[in-house]
Amino acid sequence: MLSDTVLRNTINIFITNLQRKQIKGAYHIGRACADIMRTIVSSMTKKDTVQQVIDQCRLVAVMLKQAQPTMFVIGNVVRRVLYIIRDEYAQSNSGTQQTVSADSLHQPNLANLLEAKAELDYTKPVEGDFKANILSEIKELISELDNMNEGISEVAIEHVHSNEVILTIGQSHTVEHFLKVAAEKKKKFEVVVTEHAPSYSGHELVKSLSEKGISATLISDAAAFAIMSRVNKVIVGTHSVMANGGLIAPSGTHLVALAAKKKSVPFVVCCGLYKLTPMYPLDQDSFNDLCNPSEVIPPELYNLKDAHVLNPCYDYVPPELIDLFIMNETGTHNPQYIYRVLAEYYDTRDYDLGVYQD
Amino acid sequence: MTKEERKALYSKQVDNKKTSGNTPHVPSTGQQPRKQSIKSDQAPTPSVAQTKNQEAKQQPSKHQDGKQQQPKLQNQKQLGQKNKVEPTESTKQNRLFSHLDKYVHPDNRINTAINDPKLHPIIVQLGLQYATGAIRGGNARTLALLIALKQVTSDYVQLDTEIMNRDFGNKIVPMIDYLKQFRPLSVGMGNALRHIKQKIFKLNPDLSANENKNKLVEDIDIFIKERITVAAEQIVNNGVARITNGDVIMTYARSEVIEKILTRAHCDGGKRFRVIIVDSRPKNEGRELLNRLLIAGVDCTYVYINAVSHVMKEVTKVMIGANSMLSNGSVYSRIGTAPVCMMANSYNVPVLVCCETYKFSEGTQLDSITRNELGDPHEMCTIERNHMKPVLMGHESNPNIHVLNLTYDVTDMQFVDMVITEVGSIPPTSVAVIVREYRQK
Amino acid sequence: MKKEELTNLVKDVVRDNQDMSLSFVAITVLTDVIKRSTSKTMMELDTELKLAVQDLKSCVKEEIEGTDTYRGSSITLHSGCELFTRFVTRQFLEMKEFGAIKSKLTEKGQYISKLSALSREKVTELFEPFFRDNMCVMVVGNSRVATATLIRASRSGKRFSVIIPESRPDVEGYKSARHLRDAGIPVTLIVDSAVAYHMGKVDFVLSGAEAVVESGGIINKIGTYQIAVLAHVHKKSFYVAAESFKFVRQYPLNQNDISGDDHYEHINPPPYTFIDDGQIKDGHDVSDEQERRQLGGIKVSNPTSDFTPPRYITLLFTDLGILTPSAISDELIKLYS
Repeated sequence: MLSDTVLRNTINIFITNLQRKQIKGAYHIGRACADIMRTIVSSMTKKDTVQQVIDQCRLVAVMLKQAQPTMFVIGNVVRRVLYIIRDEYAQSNSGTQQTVSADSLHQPNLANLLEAKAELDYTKPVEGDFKANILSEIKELISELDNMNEGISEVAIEHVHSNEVILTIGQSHTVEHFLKVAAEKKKKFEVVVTEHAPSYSGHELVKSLSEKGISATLISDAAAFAIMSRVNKVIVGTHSVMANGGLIAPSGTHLVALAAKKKSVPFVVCCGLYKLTPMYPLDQDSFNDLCNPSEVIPPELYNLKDAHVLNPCYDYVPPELIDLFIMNETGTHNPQYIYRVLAEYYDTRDYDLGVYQD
Repeated sequence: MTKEERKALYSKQVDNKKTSGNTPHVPSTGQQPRKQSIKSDQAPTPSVAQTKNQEAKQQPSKHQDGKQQQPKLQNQKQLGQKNKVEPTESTKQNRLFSHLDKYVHPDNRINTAINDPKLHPIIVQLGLQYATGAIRGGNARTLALLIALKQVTSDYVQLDTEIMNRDFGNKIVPMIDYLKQFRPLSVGMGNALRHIKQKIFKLNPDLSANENKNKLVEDIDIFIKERITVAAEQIVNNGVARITNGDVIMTYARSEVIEKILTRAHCDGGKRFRVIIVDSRPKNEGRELLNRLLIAGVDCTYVYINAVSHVMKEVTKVMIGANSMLSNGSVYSRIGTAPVCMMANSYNVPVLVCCETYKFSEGTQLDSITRNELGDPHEMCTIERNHMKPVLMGHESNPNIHVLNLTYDVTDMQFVDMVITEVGSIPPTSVAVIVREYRQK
Repeated sequence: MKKEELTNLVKDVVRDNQDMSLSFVAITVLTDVIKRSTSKTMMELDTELKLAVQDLKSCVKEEIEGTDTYRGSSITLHSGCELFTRFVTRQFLEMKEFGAIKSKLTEKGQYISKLSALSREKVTELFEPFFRDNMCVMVVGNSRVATATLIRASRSGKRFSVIIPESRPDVEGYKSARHLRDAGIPVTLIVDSAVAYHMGKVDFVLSGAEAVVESGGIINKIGTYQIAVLAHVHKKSFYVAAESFKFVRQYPLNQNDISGDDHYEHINPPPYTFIDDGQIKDGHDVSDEQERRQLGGIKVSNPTSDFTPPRYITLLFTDLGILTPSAISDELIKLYS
């Protein structure tokens, strides 16, 4: 257990960077989070109970989430770690080494509905190996995060064939990595990239792909519908995947997804497992954020300063527009299967990590 | 086209340029210029010699001198072809769009035109205005064309040996061909021209030249008045009537007719509504509309097209203009219109298209690729955000990078709820009916 | 246990627990049956239980149906019986000793009787974050769970309004509207035919369920299917609030599959009622003799339930969590494997 002061010192710098958005990118934030979790678990002594460790992890999650509420990977990584802890504890408690299926033990279930659920008591002291096991599992989790793109590329390669035209939105590092790997494997295909104003990340991607010998075409966001009849597949990344199989993705994705549906073009989403979030969005406003309006109209245009300018960061894409998910650990599956992946990697008790009380 | 073939073509073109020097190459066979006006009279075949070319260039005679036809026609032929010899624009083509004409910078075309006796100076000026975008938008371009034609008509001198209705018709052909180089004719322009040509053909050869000229100028004026000016008025009135208090109206890029509707409804109609302007790169035409609406005092919100799904839930109507309406009920309009209409349709928001009947076309198009216009790739590469480097500058040298700047797209009929024209509000299915009616007139 | 004893027991349970779902009435009664049973072996107990289930179903049909508290559908009853039978069977398999089973079951009795209310609590809790201020909700029929959800959200401070179709012919929607009005929620009552008209202003539709089937679809009061289809066309979400004991292992494909089967037969469809001067009148009270005679010769089809396929359902809120329709099958597989 880390003392309060030590804990705060560890995460203070991270919190400040989060608040100022100086640390960007889901991977970096998730990784940093996993490191903090590892620190907490490492500091666990014989006197500490598992409940205390769980509580401390949840507290850290809440504090970090407050710094950047739309960064779901923070909560997700913490939930993964908590699941590891609970699973390990349940195994060591039940005595047997059977692979305890997540559902029958922790999750509420139709089968055990009529039995009064016996809650696991996390305040009992733990055996020797417990901490070591957990640390090794966290290490695996971290290596999973580090090698996420490789895992996805391996699976996604099968879905690209020769002479295909692939459309992507802006620059997703996962998709970029996957396309380069596909090109190395001598697949011949063309990529069309929407420039994704006002971030213009599409330009970077086109340049980067061309350097690897991939034929890349830049189009404006408005042309995505016009070109859709010539596209074979749409492959995009996302900010996060929600519990109903929908996406919170960079703004403009909903438009492309709808166009793909109208033209019957498969819409494929590639992302790491750590982006899977056990929350349900209602509509376009759920979990959304507004970006800087001067990216849309530069402040030099004085005559337009009285206009009301909107620049939303994210779009909600409903699950019926998505055809396939490609994730690193779980392979490919459709949006209707997401609930199952959730149940296998997160514990329902951790869905709600709590509100920060100062 | 593989890389090797492309390289061979490129080197051949470079060689061509070296051998021909500054005199443009004239083919000995009757190779027609790529774009011909639809009902062009038969162009006389070039009986060619390159020496004659040199002569022609040195004579800055006015176009009225009919005897200078042949050599000038050769000049015309040169201008009619694509300038394949210029390597400044990339010769690589995205294979999807190889059937569309490549974008060529206007400077490359203007050089030989200035002293061409076949072209009235006002036409030369018009071509430049089209190319640089100084005159932009369906109505503006058509109006400018018709006004220029009126001037050309007034300046026409009929020779004794010629009959006006045939001779004048022939004289107009090279001018139109010249204009087409800069930007393809829009459907509206095509329809107007066809109308004018019919009028020319029906000119009575027994009347004097002046009387014919006056009649023609009058005909052009009537067309402008009926089909463009008054039609626009009607549409504006119709459109204003469709706006109710409390409306949130979404529009895309900049349509002249929509601008008029919104300002009129706000200032004269006294209606309370607000406007959401959706815009996109690279042209950012919506900013001009935003500016004018702000001056008029309309409550405006401005977004880029990526934010459309976010704002759509507040919208009560979508109103857009069109470049033309196709016979199958589809709308041919600025690129980006189709996704906006599609999104509106998915939110059950009605889509209203405002379009004059002179822009109705007999043709149809199933998707946006069959016929389109490619714009300047350079526009796409420039980024207006100060701290970001435009990484794609100089992309011409990289064979793997293509930049596509489409100008138009086709919006399917199912996304359109109503078309407002000067003859009233019609469902998109009735566009073909209107086309038939006007054809019979 | 004899039939009369059972009947009295059922009536007692119903009287003492007005708010309890029919499933749980069944479970409570059956627990009692086991408690009072004099069997000495597992086979005997098993037979007794089967008999009790049959008696229970017929007794409910005769005595309870048509009263104000319970509508004419036995499917909830059926799912409750199924659940309990499964539970007992599993106990049989796990515990080899007979005497232990009885004592365990009697222990559970208390817990089980509270479970009905507990499950409903959990469902209403899950739904709270989905309410936002100034929303307009459409409610289908008279579901206790749906009403409880709305009341809870209103108590936690959310401001919203409700539109209820009156749900003919037994005007259940009207009864529901009264509950909500009493809780201080602004309610609008509309005729069933006006649902499409009002669908534009609705934010989402909330429904209860009599049963949740294997595909993730639901069986509910007649009219639910058409409201779900309309919501789908207008791109509005259709949420279902249902406790997990309503899951049944049936797989209907269309409306025909839910009738004609022993479990779902429509028991004594209620007579043709209408509202006159604020009073609910029975079809038999039609004062105009002529009018009554004219109805004769015209067939009346009056099914009480319909089946809503899963593609029109956005999410199901159960005490097991928020589930997408595809997750229902998973749960049922776990139960029966």
